[in-house]
Amino acid sequence: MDAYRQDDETELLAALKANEARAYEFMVREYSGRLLAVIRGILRNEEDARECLQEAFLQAFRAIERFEGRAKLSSWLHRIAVNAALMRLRSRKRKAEASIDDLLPQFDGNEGRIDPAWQPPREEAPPLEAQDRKEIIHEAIAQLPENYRNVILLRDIQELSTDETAAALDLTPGAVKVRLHRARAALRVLLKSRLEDL
Amino acid sequence: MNPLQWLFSLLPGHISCDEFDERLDAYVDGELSFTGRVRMAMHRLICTACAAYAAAYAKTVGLVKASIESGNDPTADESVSEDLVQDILNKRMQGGNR
Repeated sequence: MDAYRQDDETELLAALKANEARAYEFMVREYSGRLLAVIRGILRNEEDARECLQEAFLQAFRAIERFEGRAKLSSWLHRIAVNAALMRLRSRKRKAEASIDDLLPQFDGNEGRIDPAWQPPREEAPPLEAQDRKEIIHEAIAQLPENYRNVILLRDIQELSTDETAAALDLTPGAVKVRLHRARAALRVLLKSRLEDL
Repeated sequence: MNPLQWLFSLLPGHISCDEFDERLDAYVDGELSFTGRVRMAMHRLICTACAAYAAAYAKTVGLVKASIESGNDPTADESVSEDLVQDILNKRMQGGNR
C-alpha cells in the first residue's frame, strides 16, 4: 500500500480528517512498526507493548481532527506512543504525576546557588545494568507533569528545535525554553537519588 | 556568595549563579556564542556548586536523550503482525476515532 506521499502529508492528513478508511489503514501500516519498536524499548514486554500500540493509535484516531500538521505526522504519532508507554509504565509502578517545584534549583538573595549541605546517605548497591538504568530514566520522565514531559519528548528525544517544539505545542519559544529548563532540572533531581554516578 | 565569587563578580563579563542557570540549556545544547561559553566557563571555575550542577545537568540530558529511541533507529525490530494491524483497524471501526 503506497497510496500517499511521505514528503507531503497534506493529502494523507486531509483523507484522515475526511475519515477515509484507506488513509487510516495506510497510517497504521506505515507507522505501527516503528512505533511498536519504540514502545517495546520502554515497556520491555511484548504483550504490554502491543496493547499500548493499540491505545496509542486509538488516541491518535480521536485526536486527528485537532492535529493541525505543524509537526510531522510521524513525530506527532511518536509523541503519542511514547506518552502512552510512559503512562503505562507509571501505572505499573503506581507513581503519581508530581509537582516539580521542589525539584528546581534554589538561589539566595545575592543570586548565588544554594547548595544543599545535607544529602541523604546512599545505600551501597550493585551496579545497574543498562536496561535497569533506562527503566529508571523512563520512570523519572513518566513522573513529570504532561506539559513538561511533552517538551522533553520533543526537544530531547525527537530533537526538534525550540521553534518547532513551540509550533507543535502551540506555545511561545520562550515558554518552551522555560519548561525545558524546569523539566531537565526536575529530572536531574529525580535521577540523582537513584543513579549512583549522577 | 563566597569571597572569591565576590571578587570575580567585580570583573567585566562576570555572571551570577542565577544567570548561569538561565543560560545553562543553551550551554548544554551548544547554542551559546564563544563569548557566552567563556563566561560560563569562567563561572564554573569560581563556583564549585554551579560546576557540579552543570556537570550533572549535562549528564542528565545525555541520559534522557539516549533512553528512548527516536523512532529512526534502522536496527530496531519493526515487525508487526497482521493480526495486530487488523485489531487496530477493527477498533477504529468500532468507534475508536469518533
